[in-house]
Amino acid sequence: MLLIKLAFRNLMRNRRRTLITSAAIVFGMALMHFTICMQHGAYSAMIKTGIGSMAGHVVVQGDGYEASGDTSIVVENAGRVAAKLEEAVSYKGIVLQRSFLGGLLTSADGSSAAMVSAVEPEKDREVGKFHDYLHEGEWLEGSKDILLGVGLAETLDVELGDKLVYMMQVDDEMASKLFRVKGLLRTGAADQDGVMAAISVEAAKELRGGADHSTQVAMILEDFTQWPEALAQGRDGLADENVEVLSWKEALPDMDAFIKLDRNAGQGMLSIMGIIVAMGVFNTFLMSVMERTREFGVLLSIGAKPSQIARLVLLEGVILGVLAIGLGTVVGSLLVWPAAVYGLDFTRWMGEAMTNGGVVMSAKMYCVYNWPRMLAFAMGGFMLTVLASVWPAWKVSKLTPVEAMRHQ
Amino acid sequence: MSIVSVEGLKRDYPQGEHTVHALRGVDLSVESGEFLALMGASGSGKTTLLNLIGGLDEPTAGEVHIEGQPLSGIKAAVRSDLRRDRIGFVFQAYNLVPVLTAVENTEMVLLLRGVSPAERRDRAMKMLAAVGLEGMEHRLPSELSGGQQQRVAVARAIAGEPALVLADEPTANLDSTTSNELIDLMSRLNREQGITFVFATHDPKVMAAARRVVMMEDGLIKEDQTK
Amino acid sequence: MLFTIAWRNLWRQKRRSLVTSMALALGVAFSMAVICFNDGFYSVMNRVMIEQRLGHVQMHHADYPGRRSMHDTLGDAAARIEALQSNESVGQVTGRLRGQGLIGGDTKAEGGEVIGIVPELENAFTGLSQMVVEGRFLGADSAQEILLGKILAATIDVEVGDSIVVLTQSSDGSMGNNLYTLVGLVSTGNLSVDRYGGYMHLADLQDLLVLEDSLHEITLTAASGQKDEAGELAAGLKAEDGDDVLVRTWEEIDPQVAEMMKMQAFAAGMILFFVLGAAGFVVLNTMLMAVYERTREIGVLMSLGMRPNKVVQLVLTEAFCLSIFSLVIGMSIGGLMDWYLVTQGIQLMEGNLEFMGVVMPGRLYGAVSKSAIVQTVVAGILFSLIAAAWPSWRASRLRPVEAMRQD
Repeated sequence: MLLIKLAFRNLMRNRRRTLITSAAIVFGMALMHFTICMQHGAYSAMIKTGIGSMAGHVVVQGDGYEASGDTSIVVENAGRVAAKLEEAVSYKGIVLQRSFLGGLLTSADGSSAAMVSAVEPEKDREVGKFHDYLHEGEWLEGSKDILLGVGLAETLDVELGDKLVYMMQVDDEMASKLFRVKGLLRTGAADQDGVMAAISVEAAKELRGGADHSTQVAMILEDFTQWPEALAQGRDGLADENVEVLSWKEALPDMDAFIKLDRNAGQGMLSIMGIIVAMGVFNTFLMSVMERTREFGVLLSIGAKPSQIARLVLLEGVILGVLAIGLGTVVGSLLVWPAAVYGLDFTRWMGEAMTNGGVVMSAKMYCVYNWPRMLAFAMGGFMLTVLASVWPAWKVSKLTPVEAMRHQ
Repeated sequence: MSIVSVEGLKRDYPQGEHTVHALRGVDLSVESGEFLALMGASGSGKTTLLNLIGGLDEPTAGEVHIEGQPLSGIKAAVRSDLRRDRIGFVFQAYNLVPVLTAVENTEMVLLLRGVSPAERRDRAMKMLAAVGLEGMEHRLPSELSGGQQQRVAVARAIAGEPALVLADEPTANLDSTTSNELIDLMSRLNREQGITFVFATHDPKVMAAARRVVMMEDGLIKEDQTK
Repeated sequence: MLFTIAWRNLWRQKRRSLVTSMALALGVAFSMAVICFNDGFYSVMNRVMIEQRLGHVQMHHADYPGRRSMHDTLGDAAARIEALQSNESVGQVTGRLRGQGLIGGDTKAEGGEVIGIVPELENAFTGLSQMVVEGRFLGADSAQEILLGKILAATIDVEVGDSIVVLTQSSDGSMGNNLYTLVGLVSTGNLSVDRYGGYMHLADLQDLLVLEDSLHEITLTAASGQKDEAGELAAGLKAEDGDDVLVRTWEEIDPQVAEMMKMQAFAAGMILFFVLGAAGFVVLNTMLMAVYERTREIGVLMSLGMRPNKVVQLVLTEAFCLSIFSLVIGMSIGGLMDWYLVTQGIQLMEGNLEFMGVVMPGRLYGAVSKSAIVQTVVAGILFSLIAAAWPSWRASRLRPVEAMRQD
């Protein structure tokens, strides 16, 4: 106890220096926490979007689809597969089918290539993302309904209620179907809005000549965290089917790669900053120890052990670490709060939304607390601070009283 | 015109709860060419008076004039220039810049005045010769003895041909032989070159060599004797 | 001699000065590497989004933007192009015609966009022939040849030499189709081409769409090659052409891209600010300690007649020397890292990364520019001086007497 008091007072001896050192640590730590939370918020939103629009927590696709993107690779007997999946996974969730089709949309006045997603209207409305994008008109109901991205609608020069012909190639033949524009979708990312369209799974099956094929059977769990077990169960349950059972990461590899890259870039830079600050802390400890050399010599000569003095110095490092990192965490957490509630709007610089790694990312980002990661980095920061005091402490333990007192 | 003229000089220092009255009202006049010792016990105010004369400190009341120029009410830069051009200092603790050699220390004042490198090097070397340190010009202070360092300090003080050299306990850290050598040196400079010296000291050897002794006690001048 | 004192003073505390300069050097090296990477990234974005897609100035039919209707064309295409080519303020010209359709091989087809070009012009403009990764570029004359984006070709399962069917809606409302020979595959970096499109000779597409002598888009660069002259160029062309043609600069066409380019400078600035700011803190602490240790000495110098502002200069000079020393080390390390990034690149991932419509190669190479280096050097020195500002000011405020009473 006395040792702690002593260590603390020692830190306060040169108040300005301790304050500046602490300020740097606090600033760095707060910035790190803020970045962690902002990234977490943005990535969570992206993952939700990705899962909601083109994947699930557990994704079943035809063998080879993920690698090639070949829209003719399908899950055959999709209905049966969906039922099997639902049975195999014990956790609560929704199993739905989707198809992804390319092709051409033509209207009276225009034509355009389109990325068409076929969804199960009721189920997707609940857990999918497309319904969130509904901007005008109504959601899908029957197999004649189509929803268009606003840009696409403009290119085709159509409004709600207008007719469209959709053409795609199935095996060797051209298939086409008439649709009526039921609603308009808006993501905010211009490239998506210009090519995106949604129809019902029923319609997609009609285009495929009536076969019960879908590109994908996906399960969206109620509890996100259960996905590893659910995946294992799904794999077991569908082992004898000619399909690939993927996790959401495997189904959205580009998004996953983007997230990893972006996260590492941000946190990597802050870690380097941390190392630089740690070097400054090292200098501080070094100086504070050197200044007290004579004093240590006196202590040694009255019977203190070198290891005790070394421990004192280490303790100073620990106290500085605890206080500065602690304060930094508090400040960081406080800074995150308004950003979590009101969000940060980067629209001015990044446009409304953009497509990264294949998934739409909104320019309005909300911070989300990621306590585990924050704790990990706080621990890391603490250890770095203490580490900065190790070498000075070691040097002190090597002092002999005579040298020390002769020191100027 | 006196080189130094002091009127009603007072200096108080707050120290915790009470105030220390280091100078309580001193009048003094020093003429050109004098070799003067301010003597007294510790706390008598001699060092304080010296510092005030040199413009290193500011009085609580009273005036100091150097060659007719007042030291109070002038900007820090002007005061600096006055020290640079008209006054030289020798301190008890030598106070040489540790990273500079003897000659570099000596030519410092000339550097501050903007004298050309060749000229100031030349002059500094001459100064070091004058104080008997030929051959030691390129040594660092850490490579010189106490006496030698003090001589460099003297050389530095006179390198700029000041009107006045103020020396604060210059012999306090030296043994008696070295002290005598130093005092002889400064006497000689005073006689041959007419440089005015004012010492603050309690070394009797300095008192013996001084032509005027001013005794101080408790912040006031007690005696002022010219031999 | 101020430099002499400053430099020698640094090494009075060898370990501390070394640690400080290592911190600064690390900051500089890291900044250089990250900025190099950043610039490499943006140079790809710049190349694909601006140079290839937008050029400096574009001309369209007044109604074309937004709806992008097939019918809103610029007529007299050949004559227009010729006129522009002989215009002195124009550098490169290329014209493009766009057709949406189903592009298919034997068994599979996908929706996509075919761009009709005059091969030599497009190649002179974007270097398209360099982006052919398999097969060859289009021949100079119309010969029913087609180039497809590499990813599209894989998706519809075709190879160089195969026959490609393109099915489109032509300008007269009918559905037209035609057969073309796949002569090459391209990898442009532009997602909409690589994954969803291809190129054919302008004349062939004009035939298919029944749009004689028409273009949807004319893209130009300024003669000087400078992006900032786009405004002037656009103004000049506007005067000539009158109302039914829309002449716009690249910034007007896609303001988001301009903003994104600003991000490049912003990102670099942020990196320097945070990283060198952290190093600056180390310098601050060190200079404070150094000044404190030399309080007595500073008092002596002032008693000799050194003016307060000279004292400031002395401390700042010390920081300056430290920064130069650190910069030399930091830039050597940084230079090595940059060299590695530029020649070897970093493999970020297998395959490609799609970012804002640009296909980033999985292996990203860095880019170094003189201005980036200068920026880093200046920032390094500046942050050191700023960090030393307060300590130097404090030093100048010392009073000689008090200073010398310090021990």
